[in-house]
Amino acid sequence: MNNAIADQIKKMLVENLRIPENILTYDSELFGDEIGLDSIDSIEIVAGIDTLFGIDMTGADREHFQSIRALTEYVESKQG
Amino acid sequence: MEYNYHKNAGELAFIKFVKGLVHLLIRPKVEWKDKSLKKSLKGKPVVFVCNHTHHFDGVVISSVLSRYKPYMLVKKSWYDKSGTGSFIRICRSIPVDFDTMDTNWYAQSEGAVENGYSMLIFPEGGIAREGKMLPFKPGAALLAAKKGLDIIPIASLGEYKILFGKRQKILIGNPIKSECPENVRYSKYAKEISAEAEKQVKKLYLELEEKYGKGKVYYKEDFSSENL
Repeated sequence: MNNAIADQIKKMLVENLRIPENILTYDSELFGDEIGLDSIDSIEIVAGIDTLFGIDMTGADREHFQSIRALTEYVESKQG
Repeated sequence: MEYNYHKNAGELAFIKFVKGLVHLLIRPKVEWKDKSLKKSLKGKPVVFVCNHTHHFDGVVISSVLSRYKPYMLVKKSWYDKSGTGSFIRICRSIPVDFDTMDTNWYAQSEGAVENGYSMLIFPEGGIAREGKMLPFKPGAALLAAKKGLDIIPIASLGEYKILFGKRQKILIGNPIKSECPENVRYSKYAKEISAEAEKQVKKLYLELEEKYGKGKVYYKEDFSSENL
């Protein structure tokens, strides 16, 4: 996993979604009880990933949104 | 994707023409809870939210609000149609695809607001066909939550009689302030103000019914029995 990308995503989640940084790890379940995001938050995640990396996640499977690690791997796969 | 928000002279002329047609044929009767808002809203992007009872809602409400230059969220299926869709695309509209996890509308809406345009959203997401007002989708309020935009609730009552018959009644309510506290997630706050917007629209609709008689669309609803 590319830590630089993961850190950018983490920063975006902390700033845009106001997730406390101290509870957010690369493997935290974003949509589970741990962080508790929902479908409205996913709008911001998609917008954030597009802004950071120019990658459109519209229509991507839910599994790619589950953690910073999953988001990072998705971005890496699209960057080639 | 670069999106050009500013309409050219031909498109602006068409929008004006549609506005004229709406006022001639539909003759909307517009009332404001606070008339001073008419002037104070000009040049200040807000999010207008309105109940959705008919396919004419978009063109009529956006024509009524034309001085505030609202961009309207439209179902992608309508936006992409070959006939009607071409007119929708000329007017200020942003497509939304509810069947996929489409979020492009959000970025485009943010862009519209940043370019000085207001938004017109029908948060039910579709026309009420079962006799009840559909629950407001909170995604519409996310824009207001993040950008600190006032939400202006609007109620529309009537059956869109052309030329003759009862006029369409439109009541524009007082602003709902959007000030998301620092320690609150925007999505959570969006749900709160969305719920408040839904309540205010119902209140305005009830007010219209009390003044002009019960509407036919929400035949299963009794807004007077709700704790609004």
